[in-house]
Amino acid sequence: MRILVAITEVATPDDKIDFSDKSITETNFTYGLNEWDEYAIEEAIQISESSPESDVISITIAPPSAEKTIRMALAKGVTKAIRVWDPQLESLPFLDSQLKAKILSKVASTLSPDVILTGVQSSNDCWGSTGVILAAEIGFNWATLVTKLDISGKVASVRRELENGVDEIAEVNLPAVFTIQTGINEPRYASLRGIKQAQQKELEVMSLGDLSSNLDEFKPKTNLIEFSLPISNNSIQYIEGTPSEQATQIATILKDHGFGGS
Amino acid sequence: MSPVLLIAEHRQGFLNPDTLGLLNAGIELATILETEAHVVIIGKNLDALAQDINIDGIHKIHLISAPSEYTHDVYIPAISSLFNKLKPSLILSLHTSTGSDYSPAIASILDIPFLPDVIEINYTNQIEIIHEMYSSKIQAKIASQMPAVITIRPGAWPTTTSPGNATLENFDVDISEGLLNFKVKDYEETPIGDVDISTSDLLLSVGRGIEEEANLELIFSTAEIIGAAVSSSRPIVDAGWLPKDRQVGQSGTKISPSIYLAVGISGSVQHIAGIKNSKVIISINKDPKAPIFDVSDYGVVGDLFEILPALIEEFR
Repeated sequence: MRILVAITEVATPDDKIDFSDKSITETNFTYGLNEWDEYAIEEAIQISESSPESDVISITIAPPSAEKTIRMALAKGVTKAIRVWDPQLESLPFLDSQLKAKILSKVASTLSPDVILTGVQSSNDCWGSTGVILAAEIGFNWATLVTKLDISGKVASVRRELENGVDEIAEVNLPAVFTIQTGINEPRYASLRGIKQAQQKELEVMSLGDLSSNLDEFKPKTNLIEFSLPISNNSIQYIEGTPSEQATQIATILKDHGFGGS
Repeated sequence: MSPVLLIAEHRQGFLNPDTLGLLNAGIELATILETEAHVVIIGKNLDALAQDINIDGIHKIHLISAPSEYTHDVYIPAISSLFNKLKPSLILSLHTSTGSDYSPAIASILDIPFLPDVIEINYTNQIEIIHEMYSSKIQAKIASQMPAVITIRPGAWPTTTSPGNATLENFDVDISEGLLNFKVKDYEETPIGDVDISTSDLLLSVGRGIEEEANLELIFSTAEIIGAAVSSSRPIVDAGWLPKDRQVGQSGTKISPSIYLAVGISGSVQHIAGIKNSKVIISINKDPKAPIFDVSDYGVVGDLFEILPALIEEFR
């Protein structure tokens, strides 16, 4: 079985975000694997471990600086990694989900996967839609928000997380894309041996020109007007003071609402 | 201009109430674009549901009869063929587990722009939307040509409506159930354990800020002394520290307490969606920029490991 896992490096702002109208300056950012993708990687490795002659190939659209993060996926057990980047992408303020999916589908279509996994969303872009578009582009079936995945032959049984504590149990024919929800498994840490081995594993770099002779295919359908800060909530009342003064005020609010006994 | 097409969401015979917010967003847009707001509803036993969405401002309701509960294998061909007949200027749906399951694929199949999880829509010669990024810390204003597919955030538009008299029209799409590649087998509800947070009037809710499982002891002893039930954000349940029925958020248990006391919860979009029916929200967080403060009535910027022990002292 061949399993692809589409993973993203995310930048988490430490404190305040520096940005202009058209770009975010990623200073004071911590870089790492997108949280949802951690679970997708674990799920991919678990599937490969339970089916003989499997491999797991990761695909990431990112500049060279992401290679440290990609090596972490290799250290956890991904067989081979592919990184796609191009000067044409460098100038964009972000990659929208349609563009990401277009690039991923071009890479995936050359690899004949049985299963493609990716996180439900990334914490940076919050599109929550790349996996579905990828499936539609490549002509695969799909299931989103997956919290349980069992593959048997050419059919996958899935549990999908809907709203208000309701899950859906469904069956999907392979090949298929699954968007993985956090909590589906317990992502492993890379072992020291894994980290050592990761340095020897293949990390192939591709440009958009390697994927298509027509670069217009990779032009985004939407464009950024500007970034801005969210409008903050004016009606909030901050409780100031020392911790014990703050606690006193919280206690007063609770008592005013009839809680906490006397 | 051609109409705005709104996709009603329902499951197991019930309309998702956020659909009314979607309809209001569509009516607002149709007014700006000087066009009609149309709704499409797909599935079985649509008569009662059609009544629920027949609200003032909606011009026409398209009924597409389909044999099964929601599956994208039905919705995508149904909406695509209605799109080809109606040529709407925009398709709007909810950014929910259902809406985000079919809407991106419709945009892909029709080869038109897709704009997910939108909290504001404007129009000045082109469609301009607001989408939040970096855990709600940045907003991106994004422009798009029409037609486009937009999913809107549940709760971002008001759900108050008054009765309307839209025209009802059947639209036939040939859907063969035998061809489905995605089959729904069942729905399951999270079993409720010894504490039912859905009926609790005071919730002490804990998030990632608690750092370690052992520290939950502080939460439980605080909860006991103030008379609260303990709930949590998603990461605590993902880590296996609390059972799933304690989880608050879009996918978690529905809650409506008088007071929601959030400690160490930064406030993801999904979490905030789940707490909007709380009467009073008090948040304790170290990060003054935590998005939870945007929906809180009272904010405490501070260390929960100092404030909770002091709060326990208040009630001794």
